[in-house]
Amino acid sequence: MHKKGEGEQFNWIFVLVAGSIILSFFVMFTFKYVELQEKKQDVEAIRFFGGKVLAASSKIDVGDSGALDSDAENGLRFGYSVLLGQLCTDNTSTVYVNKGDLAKYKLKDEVVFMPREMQINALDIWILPWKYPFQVTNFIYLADPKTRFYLVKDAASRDFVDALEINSIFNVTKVTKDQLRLTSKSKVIYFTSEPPSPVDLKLLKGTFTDVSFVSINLRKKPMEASFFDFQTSSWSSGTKFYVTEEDKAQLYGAIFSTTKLNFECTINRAITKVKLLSSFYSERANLLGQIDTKEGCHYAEMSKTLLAYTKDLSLVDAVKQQNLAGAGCLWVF
Amino acid sequence: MGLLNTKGQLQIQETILTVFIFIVLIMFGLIFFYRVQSASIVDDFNDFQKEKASIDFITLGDLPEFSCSAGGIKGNCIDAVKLLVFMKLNATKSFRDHYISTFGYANITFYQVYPKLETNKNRCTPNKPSDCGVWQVYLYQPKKITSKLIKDTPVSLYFPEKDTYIIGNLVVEGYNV
Repeated sequence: MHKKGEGEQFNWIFVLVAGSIILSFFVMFTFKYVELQEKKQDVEAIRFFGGKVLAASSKIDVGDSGALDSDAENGLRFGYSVLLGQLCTDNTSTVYVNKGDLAKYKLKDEVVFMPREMQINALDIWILPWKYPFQVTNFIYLADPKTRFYLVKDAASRDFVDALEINSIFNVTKVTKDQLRLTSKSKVIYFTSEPPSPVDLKLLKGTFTDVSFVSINLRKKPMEASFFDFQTSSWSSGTKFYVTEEDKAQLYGAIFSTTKLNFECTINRAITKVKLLSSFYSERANLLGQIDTKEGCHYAEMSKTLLAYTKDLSLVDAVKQQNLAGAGCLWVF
Repeated sequence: MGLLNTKGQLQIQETILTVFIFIVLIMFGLIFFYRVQSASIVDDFNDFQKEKASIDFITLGDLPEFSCSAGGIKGNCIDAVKLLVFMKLNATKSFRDHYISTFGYANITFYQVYPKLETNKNRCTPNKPSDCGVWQVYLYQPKKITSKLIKDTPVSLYFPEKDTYIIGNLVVEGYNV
């Protein structure tokens, strides 16, 4: 009898152990399966994103810009929540989905301005060819359709701010400091003489989430952008960027970025490309000088200016003027 | 009693073995399923990478390094002088490093297609820019080529010194894409 009882006890223990092992397998499998499905969704999301960016880029006519509204028939709507982020280093820039273990879109020539990370269901895309003064690359601006951009102007910056032409797919409002009323997912860009104090910004932000602040210093040459960091409760040091009368593409980049680190890195990538192309055109001017010996074509002078331009981007107008003055000769760019 | 005891022990051992085999089979099944699904996701991503590479290849002519321009405005043609400049600068380390990170393992070559001339097969170099019809602007091959993706697209080649256009072909071979 005693033995029989022990046997039954053993049976129960055995059933419990075996059952828990089998159950734990199924639990583990369920978690792994969910992980797999998430990965699959991430890859689908990045494929979808990449396809839309490539399609929007290919539609750009020469010297024109292109945009893809998330509300349009062919707009970029994921149908589920996606964490889209950008990782920028000196050599590479990558747009990734969620952790980005697998789902990443390595940027080659394109320069992308977007928040460091954003949780989105859809995406607005604006592509602008960047000329400085020669065609350099395409700038791609990405934003959550729910984001409201507030460009804050004062008496000194009113004309400048009013002249800014940001694509109409984005929700942009130009206001004065007093007219500013924040909502969730707001992006405030100050063009005022002095940026607001950290205390004022904290009060302004209140309980709203996804709010970020950027201050543009128009008086500095070149202009500078500072980003407000809520962790340190302070404005970042200024990041230099370059604009001309006709081209404000880098300034728009500051409007679409949220962190100094990413904005600086992205600007540096763009500037590296300008410098590279400048030395390229300098060499081209030398070669044209050998091919075309016509008088009055100052290829050697142009080559020198372009070489100087690789070190000093403020020479942009001089480079542009020399190229236009070369009309009748072969175009350097 | 002793015999019954041994029989009982045997039954228990049998049951343990059966459950063990059952668990092992389930485990193998799950691992197999997981691996197949993971491989399918990686394949999906690789397909996307190949599609992206294909589009990058056929739109290479749009890069300012190759495309023709006038007064800062980009045109829809390839500037033959730019090809020579690219070849010359590609010999310098900083320039080459930049394009290795942009193009990766690839062979980018432009061919003159029309007018058809005997000299078309000759390679153009910065030192020999005329009487030739092949511009190999970039070549970077891996030690071991495991796959090759070849894309070609017709282009209009522009010679600024003569102000003439000819028909060409851009052929890009991507390695281990």
